[in-house]
Order: sequence, then structure tokens, then C-alpha cells
Amino acid sequence: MTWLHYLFPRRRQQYAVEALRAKHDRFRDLLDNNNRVLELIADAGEKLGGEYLFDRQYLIDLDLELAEACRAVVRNLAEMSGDGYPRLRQALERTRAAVRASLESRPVRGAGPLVVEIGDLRTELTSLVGEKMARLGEIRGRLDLPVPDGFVITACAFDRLVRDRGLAERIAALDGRLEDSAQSAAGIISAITEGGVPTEVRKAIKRSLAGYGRDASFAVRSSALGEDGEQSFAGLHTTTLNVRPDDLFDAYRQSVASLFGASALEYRREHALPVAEAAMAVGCQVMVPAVASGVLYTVDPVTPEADGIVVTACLGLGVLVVEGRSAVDRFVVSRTPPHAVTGRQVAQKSEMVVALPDGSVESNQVPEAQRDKPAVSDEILAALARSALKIERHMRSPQDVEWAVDAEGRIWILQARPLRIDPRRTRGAEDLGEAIRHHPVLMRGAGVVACRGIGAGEVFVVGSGEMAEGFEPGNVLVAGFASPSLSRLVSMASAVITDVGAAAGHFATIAREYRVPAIVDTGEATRTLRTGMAVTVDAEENIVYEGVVEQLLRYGLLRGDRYEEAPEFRVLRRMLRHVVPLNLYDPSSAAFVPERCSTYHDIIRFAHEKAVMELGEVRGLDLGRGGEHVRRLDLGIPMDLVLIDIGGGLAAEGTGPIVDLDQVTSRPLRAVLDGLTTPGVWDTNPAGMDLEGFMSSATRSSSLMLPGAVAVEHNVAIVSRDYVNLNLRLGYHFNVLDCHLGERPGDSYILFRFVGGVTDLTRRTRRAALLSGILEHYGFVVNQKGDLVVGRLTGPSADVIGQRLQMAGRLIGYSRQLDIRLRDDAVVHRLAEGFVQGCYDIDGM
Amino acid sequence: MGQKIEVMVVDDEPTVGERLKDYLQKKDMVVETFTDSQAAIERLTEKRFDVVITDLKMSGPTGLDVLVFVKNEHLATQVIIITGYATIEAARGAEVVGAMDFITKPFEMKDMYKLVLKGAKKARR
Repeated sequence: MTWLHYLFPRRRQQYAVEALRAKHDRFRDLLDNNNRVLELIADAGEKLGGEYLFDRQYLIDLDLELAEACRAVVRNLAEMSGDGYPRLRQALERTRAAVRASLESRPVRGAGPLVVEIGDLRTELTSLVGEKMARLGEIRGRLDLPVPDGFVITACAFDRLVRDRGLAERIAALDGRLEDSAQSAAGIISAITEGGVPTEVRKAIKRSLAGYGRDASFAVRSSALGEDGEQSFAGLHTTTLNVRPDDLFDAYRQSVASLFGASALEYRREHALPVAEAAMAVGCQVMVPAVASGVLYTVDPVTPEADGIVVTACLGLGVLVVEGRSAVDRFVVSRTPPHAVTGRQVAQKSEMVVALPDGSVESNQVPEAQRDKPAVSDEILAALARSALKIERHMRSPQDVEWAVDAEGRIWILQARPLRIDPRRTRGAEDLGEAIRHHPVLMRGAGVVACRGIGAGEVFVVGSGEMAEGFEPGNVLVAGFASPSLSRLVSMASAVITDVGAAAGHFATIAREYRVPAIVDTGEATRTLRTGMAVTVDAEENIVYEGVVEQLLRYGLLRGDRYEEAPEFRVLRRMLRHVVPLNLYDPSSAAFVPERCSTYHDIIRFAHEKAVMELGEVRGLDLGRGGEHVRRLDLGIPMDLVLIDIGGGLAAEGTGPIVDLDQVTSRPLRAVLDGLTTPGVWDTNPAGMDLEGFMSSATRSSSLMLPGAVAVEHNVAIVSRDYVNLNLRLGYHFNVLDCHLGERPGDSYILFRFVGGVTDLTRRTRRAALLSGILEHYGFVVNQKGDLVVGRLTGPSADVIGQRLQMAGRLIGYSRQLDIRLRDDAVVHRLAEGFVQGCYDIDGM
Repeated sequence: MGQKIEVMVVDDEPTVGERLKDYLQKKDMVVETFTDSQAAIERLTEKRFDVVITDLKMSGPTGLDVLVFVKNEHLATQVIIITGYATIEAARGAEVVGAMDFITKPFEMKDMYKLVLKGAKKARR
């Protein structure tokens, strides 16, 4: 065949177009499945909002459908690229295994860090560090409340220890038999406490310890996986206070061993939790030099409807409160600011527990003068109430908080876990009617609930293009559109409301991840609500009330729809952590590789990006030669463009080697070209005098520009009726535009990618910022890094896509003139605004 | 509608009953849930409900059995059948026997609420 091609160049040309067409067919199938995955993701995300009822069968089906569609995406890319990315298949199987494991509630860890610093903790790391420590990380990182420094020895370190000691089988055997399990558990305990800590774990701990100095002392706390989450395990695992660095390994082993203590094992058996799946992470935190400590309940478990935060306190370390060993103070503090103390029982405190410099703790006599005084002042109690309510608002359930106060009066949060309230103790919705009647309704039934729940706070309105400065945690975030740039505020808001947006959108997804009550697509929120107003958002009934409706909030806290506690809900949440997050943003980064794909979303993003590039690779075609499906386009502007028609992209009749705009039947390409040829866009007098010749020859992509280049580079567009893949090399700009117009709105997308430039990196970066700003204005989701800009737009109607393509065409022409002019950052702003308003005259700006 | 609407939910997946109970109680209805369809049928001999929501595919008596039993005991009681996609055809047969409507899992709570309201109205006509 091959030699025939040389003999018959026309046939060779034909054959190359056929190959390209076949590639495009694979690409179409890839796109369909890519969209199927995105649909499933959006759909599953909506299920997390609490509006839906689903069962286990749904989860099983979801897993199968996701796997099937992703597999098709990966297979298509393999066919397009001649199996160019074999590792992507491994990533797929890895991800599938993780999704299946969450479906079956099996823990999966694999290789992960052995130690994580407190400052780096996130909820996503729960399966490594345990609920208890993950939550402390949230409180410190997101709520900005003081949590003692330190680090967590992870579940991976636990796995290592179990493997090193060869304990896995003996541990698994504990699940099977009852008779001699006590004896065999004791054997496991002594193997842990008497054996060494694996070298790598030891090294990792030492590295963390190096930051603290030899006389530091730590509280070493158990943070078993599952502890304080679905199950409380309260008091069953070992915590050691005031541990010196030299004794830390011992304390660590004690905490790990407590996993196999008799009462902990019994608890597991009662709750049907297999011991084989047990794992212990251990938190090591610097001791707070506490003058007083205690426990706080944000709601009184006995009378949950009463307005009372219950605080118990003692002098020194909190051991006495936690263990209930000795008389302690008890206070009731109002939940309403300024948090007055409404109840007070001050005990006669004869003993207090203090930390000694040698690394032990000791019970001391309380000096006579202090015995009858309250352990903490009213100011401290009010401050404690504020901190605890902040945690409660964030965690969306009543909290049980362990705290300490140091000599400077600083409050430290040592632990926070959900406080279980017996539902029989709470009243139903009967009394709500009266309370609600006093509050005017500001909005009712506008838009859709994206995440169920009830929240209240001061409104903070973000208009389009405005910055979110001045936003305070606990505010009700009100935005015109669900801009991705507002995402980071969502987790701190007590509720979110938008004018436009979809329940399946990115913004709503984030709200659901943090369980922030959310109403989207109201059409009116930014007009009806004003910054500074106090409102209550009932995202269960879809009503916004004026003022803070305390009773409704309390109802939400105690009795509201507890959909998130359903086991199916928890499983879906876990599954989606391996499906939804997108970790691969930047295609130019070294991390944009199959090995880094850890979710289905990563995999399809990677595959799509590579498929677009694959398609742009035109092999075996002589672009200068022309042929039945290869034409040159005359645009009337100094830019050459070779068109390769793979089906319905060019008018069939009467086309010579050179075609003009009228003969282009590819809908997306037509739109781009309409934009590109808009008067004023293609500046015919682009730059300074000395650069003029340079620039215009650059756009001709002449071989003179590339001394020594073997092949002349061309601007190429692969087109069909509904598709365009445009590869432009304008000077040193490298621009890809890929667009598919789908049958249904959700199937259409535009990918706009821009990199390079002719000037220094600062100016190129400025230009990238300008392009990003403009693309974002038009609703693209944009990633910018250095001089690379990748913008994506998915989902809108064909009309909107058409308008955006025209805009993209204008932008391509416009950007060509740019970087030489971008003297400073202020110019970027002015130019972006000018472009949006239709002014392309750079010199006039 | 003077008295509170009384609803029975029968589904062998506990989550269905639990969540519907939470939701409908908040709407001021009285809800009883069953994961065992035999126990549900026994309860139906003692008590009359406005609306019975039942899954179609269950071990023991199926949703169709529950439906037939309900209709024999209290003709006015309205029955809503929950189905999976796979069993939607079987559910069409239920319509003949007198089911008021059917709904496929997963469904939106508010859609179920509307059906229950409609059913209660019919039951008390």
C-alpha cells in the first residue's frame, strides 16, 4: 500500500483524510461518553442535595454506568493515539477499585503519607487521619479558631506497623471467633506495645518532631477511622497527655494498641464493625498550658429546646471533667449574643491536674483562695460560646467541644464532635408556625433548592465582577451568577443564594460538599436582598425570611431533614470523592499525566485534552497540495488557513483549491470566522513600525520564520458540519480552539487554549490574564498558569455557543496585537473592559 | 382535611421508609414504616391508612400482594407503587389492579409529597 501512495499522491491524500475521519469518529464517541460521565456526575451530585430519595440499587447502577462510560472514553483515546497512554487504563482500574471499595464500605488507602501536619489537614484526608483529627483541621484551617500545633501519624503508618509486625492475619481472625479472642487480642496488644515502630514511620515522626524542640510536650490522641463519625467510640481508645518527644513512640504504640482493648472490641462487635477494617491514626498536639479546661455542649441534651449552652469547667487540665472524677463548675450560657450566663453552679474545687516538666501529670491541691471561685470568667464563657457556635454552624449539628484556656485568656479547641440528641426529646414542627408568622417572607419558591438545610446570617451580595472583600464567615452569600471564583467563600457561608445557576452546577456541587443550604436560579436574589440584612434561609421549604428565626434554626439543628445520616447517603458521598474532584487542571504541568488521575473526572479531562491534541495532529497529509477534502481559505485578512473537511464542513459544489467564507458550511467554523473578520478586530496596522513587518510575516506562517524547519507550519482547521478543531500558529502564539455543537445543549462545548507570545514572560502573563478575564466574563471556566490559558465552556444552547464562538474569533484576532502593548497591569483591566464593550482599538485605550 | 393524613410505607430498604417518614412527618402527616411486607399486611388488618406507599419487588409478599390486600380491605385507601427502572413494566400491571400511581427510584421528595396529597384527597372523598 505504502509505495502506492508515493506513486499516487492523490490517493495518498485521500487515504490520510479517511484516517482522519476515522479518528474523528472515535473522537465523537469519546465525546458522547465524556458527556455521559459528566451527566452522571451532575446527576449524582444533585442526589447529595437531600431533595432525592435513592436506594442502594441506585448506587450499584451508578458505579456500573460510570465505569462503562469511562472505559469507552479511555478505549477511544487509545484507538486515536495508537495506544499512546497505556497508563490511563491503570488509572481507570485504580479509580474503579476505589469507587467499588466505597460502595462496599471497605477502606482503601494504598500508599499515602505516614505523617500529616495539622496545618495540612482537610476533610478529604479523613480516611487517612480519622474523623477526629480531620475535623480539628477544618476548625483550624477554615474557621480560623486556635487549635494546638502538631501532626497526625496516619492510617498508612498503622498499616505499615501491622505489616511489619505481621499482625494482619491475627487481627482479621478476631472477627471470626469469640471464645479465645480475648487471649489473642492480648497477644496483638503486646506485639504492638513491645515491638518497635517501623523505621520509615519513626523517621517521618522524627522529621515532624524536629520543628518543636526537645522540651516540647504533646497530647497524644487516638483518632481511629470511624471514631466520632458514624460511631462515637467515646472513651474507648487511649489518649496520653503531656508526652515528651522521647516518650512519643511509646504513647503512639499505646494509642494504636487500644484499638484491640476488650471494650473497644466489644463495641465493634455490637456495631457490626469488622476488626479487620479497623485502623488507628494518632494525633500529636502541643500541650496547651491550661489554667482551666472543660467540655461544652452547644445544646443541652436533656432540654434541647431551651436556649442554653452547657459548659463544665475545672482548673488546670480537663481530665477531671472528662473522667467525671471530681466536683467541677457548671454554667449555662445563652446561645444568643452577647451570650449572658443564665445558670451557674460553682463547685468547691479541691484538686486540679497539672502537667509536670518531666512529662507526667499530677493531681494537686487547689490553693485555698481559688477553691470557691469560678474556673472561668463570664467573658471567657461568652467567647467560648461564640467559638462553639461557629463550629456548630459549620458542622451543621449540635457539638460536644473540649476546650482549654491558657494564662493569656486564649481559648484553644482540643476536640469537637457531633452531640447526639435523642429525637424523642425534641418537639416537632408544631410550634414553628407561630414563630415564623412574625417574620416577613422575602422570597418564596423562587429558584431551586440545590442543598437542603436551614441557615441564617447577614446577607453579603456579590455583584458581577465585584470582589468579595468584606465577606465574613457566617454571612449568607448572595451572588448574581454561580461564578467558580466564589467557590472558596461557599464553605464559610451559612447559606448561599444565586440569581442564575443550576442545581447540577459546580457551585451547587461545592455547596453540597460542605452541606451549605443553597438555593440557585432564583432570578431575583441580588435585587431582593441587600448586604447587611439579617435573613433566615429555609432551603427545605425554599423560603427566605427577614430576620433571624431562632426557632427555625433550632428546628433545623435538632429535627430538620437528617438525610445526610442515611447510610446510602454516606456511601454516595464517599463514592463521589473518587468521582467528582478535578485534580488535573493545568495541561502544561508535569502533573498532567495518567499517573496523577485519581478520579473519573480527572480521567475524562485528561482523555479529552489529549484527544483534542491527537486530532490536531495531521499525519500523512500534504497541506500545500490540496485535494478533494483539503482546501485553502481566502479570508481577506493576512492569515492562511488550510481546511480539512471530514464531513459536511465545506459546500460540495464548485469548490476549487481555494475557497472563500461563503463555501464554509461548518457551523462552528463559520461563527469563529465571522468573529475573526469583524471590522477592527484584525488590526492591519498591528504594532510599532519596526515590528510591523515582523508581525505580518509571522501571521503568514512563512518558513522564513522558522529557519531550518523541515516542514512549513500551517494554520489548520479540521471541520465537519458540527465540529471544528482549529490549530493556529500566529507568530509565536499557539492557539487551539475545539468546538462541537451537539444535538442537545449539554453536549456542546468550546475549548479555547492559548500559549506563547513574542515578548517577555511578564507581558505574556499579562496577556494571559487579559484573555482569562475576558473568557471568564463570557462564562468560560478558565485555568491560567503563566502564559497558558485554557478556557472551557460547556452546556449552553447552540445560540449561546454560536455567540461565544464569534467572540472567540474576535479574541483570536485581537490577541495577536496584544502583548507588546501590555506595559502594566492596569492596561489589562482597561483592555478587557474595552473588548467586552466591542472596542478593539488598542491604541485608543 | 380535619384529621392528619395517615400514611404507610413498605420498602425492604430501610432508608426509603426512614427518609419518607422524616419528610412526611414534617408535612404534618402520621407515618408508619415497614421493611417486612408480611408485617405490613398484618398491620393493615388492624388499621386503615389514607395512603400506602409500597415497593414493588420485595422478598415475601410483593408490592402487588400488598396492593391487592389493601384494595380488598379498604377500597378507598390509595396505593402508590415504588419501582426501579427494571420493573417499570411490571408496575403497569399494578395500575389495572387499582394502584393510584407509580414512581421510579430515585425520585424527588416533593414529587412523592404531591402524590400522597392527591391520594389522601381521593381516599377521603
